[in-house]
Amino acid sequence: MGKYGTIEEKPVKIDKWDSAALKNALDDGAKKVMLDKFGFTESHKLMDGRLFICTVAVVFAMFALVWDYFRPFPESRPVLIICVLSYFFLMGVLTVYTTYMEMGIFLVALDKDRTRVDPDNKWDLASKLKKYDDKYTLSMTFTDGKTNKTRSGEITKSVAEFFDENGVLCFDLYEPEVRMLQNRIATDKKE
Amino acid sequence: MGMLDMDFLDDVRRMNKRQLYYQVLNFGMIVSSALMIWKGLMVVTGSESPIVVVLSGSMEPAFYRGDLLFLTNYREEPIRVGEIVVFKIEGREIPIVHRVLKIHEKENGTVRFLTKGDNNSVDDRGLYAPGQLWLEKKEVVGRARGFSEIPIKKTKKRHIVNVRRGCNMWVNVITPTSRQRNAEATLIPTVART
Repeated sequence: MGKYGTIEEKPVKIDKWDSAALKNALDDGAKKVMLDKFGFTESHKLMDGRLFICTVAVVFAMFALVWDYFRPFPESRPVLIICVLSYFFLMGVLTVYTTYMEMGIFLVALDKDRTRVDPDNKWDLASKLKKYDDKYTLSMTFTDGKTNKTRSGEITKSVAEFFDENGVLCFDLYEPEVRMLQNRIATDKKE
Repeated sequence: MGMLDMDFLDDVRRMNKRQLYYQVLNFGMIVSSALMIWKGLMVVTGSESPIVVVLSGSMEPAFYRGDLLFLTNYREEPIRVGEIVVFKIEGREIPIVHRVLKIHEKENGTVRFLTKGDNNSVDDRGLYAPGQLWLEKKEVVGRARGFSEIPIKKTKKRHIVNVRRGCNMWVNVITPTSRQRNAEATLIPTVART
């Protein structure tokens, strides 16, 4: 790996024409800023919810497979019906969950209160990058732990501003943008 | 460690445990979706193998090698002469697609039948288990209800070795009238009741 100590420090290099890779790289960069530079802790609740739904669905499918193997078809009919219906129902639940609860949020960062008395403030980061578009929108929503009031802001920039010709993410150009957005929302509350 | 330094593995190394697990789950869900669709078809049609491929030329000119058959296996519907059934002989893995030739039916509803491939010159007794002269309902995997042909001109069909199924494939439904026409063309049906 040359002069980089760990995989974390190595600059991110991706295929610059792959919009999924672009979005992921920018999302990961924003995560790095929020968690490493600001010291927030990541809350995994949203992702865990999705993992749980998917795991249950796969368990149903595997159970149907094993049950049908040991008790061949005509006897296994009721079990198969239950498993198939549950599986497709869970797929529906997953779709609803992804559309309405996750909404493009890739990071939920908690600003833990040092005195451990007040509830934590929450930062939700979401992003949008359309398939063949170059405009990346990063939006942050700040939820005050005590008052539960929310404030949000977003920036839209072309991905060309952060990636060089080889597809390497220039973190030094990206980090100030993220910080500025975070500052803007954080300082707004003082007014 | 030299191998692991390759750039394309960076993406994997960058993933934390949750993301890795999510990738595994994603793969699992693709497999599960295919599996659940297949099991769902099994339940709906009542057959343990709702879609089969014709493996030999014993049903020409009705079916050629490579055609797909859609089966149902509803127990309430009686098997009639002239119907195309897919059955599995006990102890053999591969199902056979042939037409019903004769039926013996008792008053209590038990049925025994004899089958023959349209393109064969003898009936299937040579294919049954040693000592077996008639087929029973429990050996039937299903009845052909529809089929889809591979898109090759009929003259070339006997010589196909490798065929890719195109998108322009129609599904033909086997109706009672078409079944009757086929049956009259290829054999003389007889029904014996005891």
